[in-house]
Amino acid sequence: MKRTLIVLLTATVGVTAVGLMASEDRDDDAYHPASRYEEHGQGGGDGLFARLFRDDEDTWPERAWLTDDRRTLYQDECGDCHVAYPPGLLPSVSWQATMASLDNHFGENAELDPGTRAQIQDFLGDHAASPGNGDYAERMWRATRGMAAPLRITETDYFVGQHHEIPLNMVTGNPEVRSFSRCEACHAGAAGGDFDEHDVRIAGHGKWDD
Amino acid sequence: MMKHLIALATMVAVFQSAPLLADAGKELLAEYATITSGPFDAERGRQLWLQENPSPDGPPRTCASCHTEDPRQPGAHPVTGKNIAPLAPAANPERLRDRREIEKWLGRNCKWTLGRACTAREKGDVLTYLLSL
Repeated sequence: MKRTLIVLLTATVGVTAVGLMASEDRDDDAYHPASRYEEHGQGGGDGLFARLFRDDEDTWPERAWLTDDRRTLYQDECGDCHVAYPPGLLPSVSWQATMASLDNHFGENAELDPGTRAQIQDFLGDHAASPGNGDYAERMWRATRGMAAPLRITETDYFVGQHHEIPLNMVTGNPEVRSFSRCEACHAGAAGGDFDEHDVRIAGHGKWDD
Repeated sequence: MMKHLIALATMVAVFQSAPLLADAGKELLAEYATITSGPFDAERGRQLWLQENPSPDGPPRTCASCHTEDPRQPGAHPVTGKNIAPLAPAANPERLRDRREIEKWLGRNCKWTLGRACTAREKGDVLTYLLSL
């Protein structure tokens, strides 16, 4: 009887411990997204239970943009100077504003012939952050609703919320990274929409662990 | 015997590919020549390459800002850090093979560097300079 009780007690404590380890941490910062999109994820670490329970929320569940024929054009024309940012990172109005001002694209001239420009604009619009384009795109849409057509992904609430813990000496003060707009410096899968927080390697500093 | 065969095959391959070197660039040169008067000049092209032009923000702008003073060297975008392969076909046989690419970049980069579109003469001079390296 006593042994049974001890076993039951140990099991209860064990299960509770597992449950606590696998549960979400709520960070007290100014940005409080809807609970479903909790930025610090489930599970916390790389342990067995974390891997079992965590939600891979930082890769695109919706893959249509990756197999869209126009994506090659987008990469060719818009990937020469920077990573061709996944369209789901900004709402359609932002892409429209960007494509309408290519002659002064963040201080550069990135003009395109009208036909190419139109095709790329359509591609971006079709896969932009919006309620209909899958989990991630919807999240970005939700995060940018309060802003008037943000042009910089790095200025969106969602982006800031995801990166506010990174010391600036690892990014803007780091000659191998230099800017938050250089996603690929820390996210090897950025071009394909893979920003999994567990695969972050900051150039010059190594793996980033939350 | 095998070594000679390989050497011969290589020479044949190189000889066959030589006419393709910078083919689009040469084609455009011929077109620019019909619009301008007088021959193009590689030295003028080089000076245009190095010329410092006023900038609305930041340091003076030149072709060298991204491509370095020697087009045979790799360059980098000063803001994004993106690597830029050498522009001289002699250093990079991929260059000046796509007409659309040449026109696109001359369009963008003349406007950024000089603040206006390049004239046909200027484009011809720069291409001639790149081909002379």
